[in-house]
Amino acid sequence: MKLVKGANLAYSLAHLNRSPEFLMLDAYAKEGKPMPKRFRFALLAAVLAVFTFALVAGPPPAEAQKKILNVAAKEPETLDPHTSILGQSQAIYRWMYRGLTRFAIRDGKVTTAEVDPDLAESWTLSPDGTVWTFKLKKGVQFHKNFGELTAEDVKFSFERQLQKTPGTRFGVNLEVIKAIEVVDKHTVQIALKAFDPIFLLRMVGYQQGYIVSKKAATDHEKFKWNPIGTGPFYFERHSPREKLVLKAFDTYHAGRPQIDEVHWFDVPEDATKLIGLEKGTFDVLYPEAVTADVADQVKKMGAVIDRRGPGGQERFYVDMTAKPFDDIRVRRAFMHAIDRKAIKETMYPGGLARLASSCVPPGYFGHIPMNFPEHDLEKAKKLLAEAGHPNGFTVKNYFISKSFFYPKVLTLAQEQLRKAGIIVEMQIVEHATYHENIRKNLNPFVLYGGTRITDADPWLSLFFDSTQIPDPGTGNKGTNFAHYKNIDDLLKAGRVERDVKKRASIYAEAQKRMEKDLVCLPISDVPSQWPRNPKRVSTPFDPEYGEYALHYSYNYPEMLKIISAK
Amino acid sequence: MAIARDASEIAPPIEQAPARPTGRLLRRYAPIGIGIVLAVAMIVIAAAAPLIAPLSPSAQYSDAVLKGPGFMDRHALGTDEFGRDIYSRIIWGTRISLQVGLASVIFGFAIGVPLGILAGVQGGRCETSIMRCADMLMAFPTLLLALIIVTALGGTLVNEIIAIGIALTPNFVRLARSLALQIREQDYIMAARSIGSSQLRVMARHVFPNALYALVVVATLYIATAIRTEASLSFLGLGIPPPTPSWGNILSEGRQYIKCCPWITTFSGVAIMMAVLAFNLMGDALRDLLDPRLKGE
Repeated sequence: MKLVKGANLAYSLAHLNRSPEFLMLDAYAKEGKPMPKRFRFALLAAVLAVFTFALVAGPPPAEAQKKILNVAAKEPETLDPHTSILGQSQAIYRWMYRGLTRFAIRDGKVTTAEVDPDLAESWTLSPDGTVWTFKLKKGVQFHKNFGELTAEDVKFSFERQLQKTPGTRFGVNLEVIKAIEVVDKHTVQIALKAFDPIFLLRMVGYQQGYIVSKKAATDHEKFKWNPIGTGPFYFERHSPREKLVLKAFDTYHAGRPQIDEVHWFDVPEDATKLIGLEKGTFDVLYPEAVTADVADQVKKMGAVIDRRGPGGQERFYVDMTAKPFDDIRVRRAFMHAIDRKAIKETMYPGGLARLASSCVPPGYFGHIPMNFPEHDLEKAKKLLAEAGHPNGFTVKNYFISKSFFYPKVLTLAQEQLRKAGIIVEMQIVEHATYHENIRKNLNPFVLYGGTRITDADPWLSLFFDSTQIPDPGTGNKGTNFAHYKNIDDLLKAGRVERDVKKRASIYAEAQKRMEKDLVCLPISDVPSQWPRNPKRVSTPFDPEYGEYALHYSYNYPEMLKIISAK
Repeated sequence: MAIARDASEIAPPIEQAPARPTGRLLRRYAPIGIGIVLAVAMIVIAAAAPLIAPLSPSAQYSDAVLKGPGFMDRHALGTDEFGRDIYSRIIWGTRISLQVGLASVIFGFAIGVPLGILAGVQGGRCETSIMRCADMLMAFPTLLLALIIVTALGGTLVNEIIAIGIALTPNFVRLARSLALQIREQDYIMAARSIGSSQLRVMARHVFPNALYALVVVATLYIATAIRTEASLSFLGLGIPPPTPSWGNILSEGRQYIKCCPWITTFSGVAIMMAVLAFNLMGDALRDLLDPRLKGE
């Protein structure tokens, strides 16, 4: 009905300039005469009618019936999936991009230990274990008419990272690759330097595994905000500091999602996100941290928290080359001074997180429990005195991110360290600046959190391999913040070991060495958690660890469904 | 219809009852009294913070995270997200607010007043250059200018004082100049010049003392502005870095818990309000007392 009225009005307006009244008005104007009163009233009435219609009519029916998912998150810094390590950016990539493989669904749950085919239809491995041949699914389309996915796109996606295209961050996870060859349009052959037991996990649509359109991403700068992938949603528009709009990709290879549009709002404050969830403005939240008060509020408003393992580990790396931490007694004192349990219980009481038991989190292949110096201020003071710091020392200009868990965990640790005589003078900076500064080795100990492929090899390779020591001189932006070099031999051995038990024992030995050298103090293992309005949106997986996810988001956002109108 | 011939026929004259001296005194001195009491209380609290505060402002009680106020409890005004005592933090925060409020006004006064008097008395190019610089600074709102300076220098107590002091300086320059322009035309200035007083002596011995009353009144009002600016900078995360408590950062940290735990923002907000009110009342009352045009009212 509204549409008919609207159409009539539009017709009237369109034909106004041909009407006798309009011709008369035109004549008055040409002669310079004032407009007669009745025309003035008519004009006023027409303007009022248009405004009233605009106010009363509301959105057109098609717009009103759209299934729009409103997400409150933090604005991503880029939409190029190979260039950002920030969780806020990682969360949105999975909606737009896919990889050759995907995490498998087994018994109604998603596991991060096994894979299923995704963009690849099938694969084979050469007898010597060094050449993988992937057959791509035919007819998989890129967004916005960028054509069919081909082997060239796969080759390009990995090579841009291996060639360290400026800004790319995950090339290290692909360094096992020796060469990539396009066999035909739908077949790609990847030769490895040596057998890699977790190569199929590396090919999952996650970080380095995302496949991008060669045609679109050749211009790296432009690609940052003009992303083209093969995922269930495509990027429609970006209003900076307001929202991103994603739309359902009609020709998504696994079937069009039920949700028509995703409005990804930039909401930095968790309190604002929660109010939005309660009022129905937002359907899903990506909070900075789900602490006890957030969990309580979510429960009170009748929403649920989708809890996903293995989550991130919050931990301290101690730079063993930075004075005075180059002295193992100071590192031990540092660890004695920190009360891990108090930090965990203050931040995430009860079941909201687990006290970390190893530098390789549980759920990752190769994990063994480690021992860390217990909280003991007297021991800490004694060790500091022995190391020549009887009155403690001051760490000046210690940078910390203003986002996520960082300022909270550091404030807790700061007070504990102060009691032992270690004064930390904190400078709070933007999250991106923090990431820059820790790679310039400006902090002698680094607080860091994150998640990686659930295997000890990529985890330890990224955080404890000597090739990953950040160095502003060479531009190395690696994440070995401890500047550790003592497990390189084990990592090399582990990468070529085909026997599962032997691999496990190699990583166990690596953890024992790290325990002895005191280079890392893990605090909490925190699952990824997203509050959701269950009356508006459904997921096929159980809220309590129904899937394991590494993306800081749902593995399969296309499976989310809007179940009620607002 | 009778027409009244004059006003006396319309209404009988009302005899103006003389205001009772106690009521008049109360009206006149109550604001300054309240202002002084609040300001003195602030100074006492700031000076005696270690004695008054029941707990360390940075001590964390993991068994009492986000605990509500309980006036008979260990945490009378509740705790924050780290289990820190809000009452103790507000008491210690008084120090920061007062230090920044007083020191930044002294800074702005010490730089701005001599420059303003120089501009007013000297005139010419000297005046033009000083006043254009002041105009440039005045083009930025106080908070914005302080924010820019703190961002450049880094958020420490001294830098915050300098930043707010610089932001307040042009206000003192303009006021001192306008006062100097009036004073330099006075007969006693001519008399001083005629006996050979140097320009510097005229400024220091004659212009400055005569401008002092008005300057002190304005300085008192700017203490309130400085406290508010400090709280704003801390609120924006550019003030004193944690764990040092300041009212602004208590307010900022409590912002995300405003729904579940409103006591954090409420008590720190009340503290800011009381401090600003104290110095505003004092400033207004001083103006009323010292302004010769208001004498006898």
